[in-house]
Amino acid sequence: MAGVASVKEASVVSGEVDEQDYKLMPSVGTWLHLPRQEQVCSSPAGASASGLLPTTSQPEGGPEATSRPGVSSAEVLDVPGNERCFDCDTSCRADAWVSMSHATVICIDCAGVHRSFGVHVSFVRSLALDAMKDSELQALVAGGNSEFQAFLEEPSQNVPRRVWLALPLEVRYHTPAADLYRRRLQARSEGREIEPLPSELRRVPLPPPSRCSSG
Amino acid sequence: MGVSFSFAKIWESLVVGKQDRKIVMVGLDAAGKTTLLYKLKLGEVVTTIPTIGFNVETVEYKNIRLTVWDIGGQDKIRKLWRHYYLGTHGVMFVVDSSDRDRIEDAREELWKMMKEEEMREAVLLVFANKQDLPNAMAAEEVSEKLGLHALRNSQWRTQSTCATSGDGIHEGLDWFSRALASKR
Repeated sequence: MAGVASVKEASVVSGEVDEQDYKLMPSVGTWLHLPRQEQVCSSPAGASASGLLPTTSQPEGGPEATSRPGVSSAEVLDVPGNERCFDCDTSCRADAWVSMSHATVICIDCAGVHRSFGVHVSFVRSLALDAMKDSELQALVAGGNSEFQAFLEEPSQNVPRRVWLALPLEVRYHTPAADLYRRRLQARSEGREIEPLPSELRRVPLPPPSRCSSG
Repeated sequence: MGVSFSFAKIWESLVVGKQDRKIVMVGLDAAGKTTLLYKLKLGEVVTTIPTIGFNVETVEYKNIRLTVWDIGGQDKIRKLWRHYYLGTHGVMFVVDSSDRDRIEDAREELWKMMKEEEMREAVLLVFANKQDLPNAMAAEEVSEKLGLHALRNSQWRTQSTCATSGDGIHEGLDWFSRALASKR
């Protein structure tokens, strides 16, 4: 079992993963691909900025301005609040994972717990090892850790940071407040902002305990 | 140590007659591969973190010894899967049955793998995992969405499972070990 946990030792570079960059390192029952410490940054902005877009200049802010240059994963981490894990305050500079359901940045350990909830609660991606869509990166810049935090601290939710951190991780994401925030983000991402955003809290049952015990 | 180990291995294969089979376990990220691997190995639910690289364990089941390579499934490390294919007898392809949005991605990755020369004859066991989650696709729906009926060269089966409770794992392994034993 120690072998499973040791995966944590792997560090990750952002950008394109090249198989040549890996060497195999033995560990207890687990082998790791250790990437070279080289920042091979493949910014999605690169292509559009390097003259691949039509050169005809368009009036700024015009209706065609929707194809704005992409956001890089480095920019996601530059948003204040996104440099640390939303659930345990660990630094995420070296290895950032995200919960797209909450548009938050989390560490690899908390990512593991998030994944156990199922994609209907938390859809987890790696900033470095997944091909992040531009819309996802933009959602992480527009949202991010401090937005979720601000929502939880609103008087209507009244979940201060210390309360959030005191709750078991599984309970946090099955609170009515977290559920409401997810539904709001979902509505925004589907462009349903014209309608009023969801505002009603609802009961969120915890998954049955049998899921966590061995059968 | 090395000598006595290999002697023990030969002795065991002569007397106990276990057949060794190499298995790769792949699938999209967060499908439940590592959870399944350690449920197979230890019979326990372990807390996992995303696999960067791979885990490898041997699992004995009836008359067969499976060496299972559980390989990380994040987008950009899927291209590393093919480095593990050589000498593979069987594939465990794990699917998150509740992730309807990405079943098409799973189909693409599965077909890309099964078209590789080294994998043409491999026995394919698909785990339609996470059956405990709401709105999970049943095994038949997973088979259909993965387009398994069009697979020509391989023996395959889809088994619905819940890795955390263990439901379905033994039914899957029963079929898998029989299919693997009949192959050389």
